[in-house]
Amino acid sequence: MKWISVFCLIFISLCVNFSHETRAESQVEKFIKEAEELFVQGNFFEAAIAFERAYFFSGDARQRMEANLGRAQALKQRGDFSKARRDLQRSAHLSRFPELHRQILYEMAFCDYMSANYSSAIGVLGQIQHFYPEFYDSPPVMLLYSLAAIMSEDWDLARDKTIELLLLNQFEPQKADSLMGKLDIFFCECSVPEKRSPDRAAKLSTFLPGTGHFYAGYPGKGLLNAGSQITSLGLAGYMAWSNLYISGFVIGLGMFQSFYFGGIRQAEYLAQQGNLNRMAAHKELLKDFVLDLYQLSEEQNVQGF
Amino acid sequence: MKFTGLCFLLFFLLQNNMTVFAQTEEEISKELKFINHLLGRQNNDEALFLLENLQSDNSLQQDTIYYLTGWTLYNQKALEASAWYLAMVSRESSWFEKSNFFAAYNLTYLGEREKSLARLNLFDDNFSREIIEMKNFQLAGISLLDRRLDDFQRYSAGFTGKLSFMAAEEEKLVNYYERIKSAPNRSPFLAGLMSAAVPGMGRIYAGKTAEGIAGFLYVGAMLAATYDFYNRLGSSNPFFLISAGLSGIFYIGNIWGSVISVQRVKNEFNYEMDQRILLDIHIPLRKLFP
Repeated sequence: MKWISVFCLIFISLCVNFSHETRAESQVEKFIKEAEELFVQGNFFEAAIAFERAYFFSGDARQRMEANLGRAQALKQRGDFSKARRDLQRSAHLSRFPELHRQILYEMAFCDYMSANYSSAIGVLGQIQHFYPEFYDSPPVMLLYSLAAIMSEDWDLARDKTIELLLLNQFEPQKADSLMGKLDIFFCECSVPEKRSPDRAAKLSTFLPGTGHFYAGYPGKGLLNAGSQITSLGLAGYMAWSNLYISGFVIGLGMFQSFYFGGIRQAEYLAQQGNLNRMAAHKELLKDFVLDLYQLSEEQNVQGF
Repeated sequence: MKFTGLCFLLFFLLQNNMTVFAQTEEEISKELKFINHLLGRQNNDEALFLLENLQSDNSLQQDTIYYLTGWTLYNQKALEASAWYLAMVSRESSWFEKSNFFAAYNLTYLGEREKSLARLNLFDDNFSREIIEMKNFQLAGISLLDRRLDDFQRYSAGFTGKLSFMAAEEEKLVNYYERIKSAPNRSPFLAGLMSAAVPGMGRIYAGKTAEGIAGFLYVGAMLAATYDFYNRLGSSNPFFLISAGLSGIFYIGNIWGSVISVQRVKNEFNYEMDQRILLDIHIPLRKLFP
């Protein structure tokens, strides 16, 4: 009788412990379900927390990866790409779940791109190319690769990836030739805007006022600056000619030195700004071309993602 | 047989009830672990969101909730709210020392020195030697911030220089005390008078040499141009009148600027001292409570 009682007690304890474990498992599922509901409702902040909770409490590797991906989606919706990227890194190691791993790598590259870490995005896309060649040959990956290369000003890489994106599509030969022709023009080295040296612009304006502005690509501002300097010098000369030597010196030359040194600084600044503006416009042009190409491939529906 | 059956039933009920009873505390404990995980990953806003919705009947757990909330807010530089939560941590909690010191520091930083002193005075002689020395150090820092130099002397007499986490800062506070004590007390009136005699001289006296030289040059240039107009064109010429008017404005502006610059220099000095003191009373706290 005594032994039966002891046996019963052990059995009950085991049952209670087992029920705790199953409860923990079902709890994680509950967290994920709750997170998904919050996500659908558009409450991305709480969804991100709920996914993180599932990640934290789950002991299952697959579940953790899924929760991490869910959290990244919620963070992306909130525009917090760098945090999403940082959290995805936790699941970036090679795992038994390649379909999840490649998705995580893609999301990492995407978040890198969105948070302007273009070289890191290229690195992650390189991993996808190495580990998942079949996934790599898909328009979204190629599009991201091409865009990241454009933004990091790696023109050769950008050209190669855009060609690969083009080749993924089975365009009619005539259409393909036309697109290839455009691609050659857009990605030609000669179309990359020439950078103007800010130092050179400053030096030019030091020796001949206004020429630094011309060099930087702002002739109107150059003319205005040169005109201001000539006018102030003329005023100084006129006052000296009228025997107002001290006033001529103070007012005329005072104004002249302001325009002169200001002109040098402005030429330098404009050269920097002009470089940035021209490069941004060129990148926009290339990005538009690549996005159009991607849209065409979407329309063709060559390969699903 | 009956007895065994009764024992069996009792055990079963107890185990189930204990599980239910422990559930809330256990759940809160789990939630706190999760919050710590979020904080460890610098997800402060998410941790705060959870902490705000968390409450426990267990006073020690509630203290931990207060502490974590206060500490997170402190890391987010929301010092007023942080001080409030940290001050809620009870004396029985293991977080009390850290919470109370940081609540006091936050209040000091916010300029609420009286409240800060009250918090520091909660550390009585029952606390360890380290805590008492830290209290003395913080009190010395606050008295220096209030420019109560006699009080500072009294507190600094207790500086031992033996505690590695604040020996350097003790020396620094003494150094600030010397600098504050020997800071020149310049007269704004005298500065104005000096600038009236020689434009820019008042600013040089105030300690702004470059501004003084610049002031002298532009007022001098304006006066020279005015003299030139007067000399060549006469006193009724509009150029002379405009120039004279502008020179007068520059001249008076320079005098007024000199008067203000004395106060400005004083404010800059006080601000710099306050920032240094606040930093140096903060460093030992972070070393003692990482």
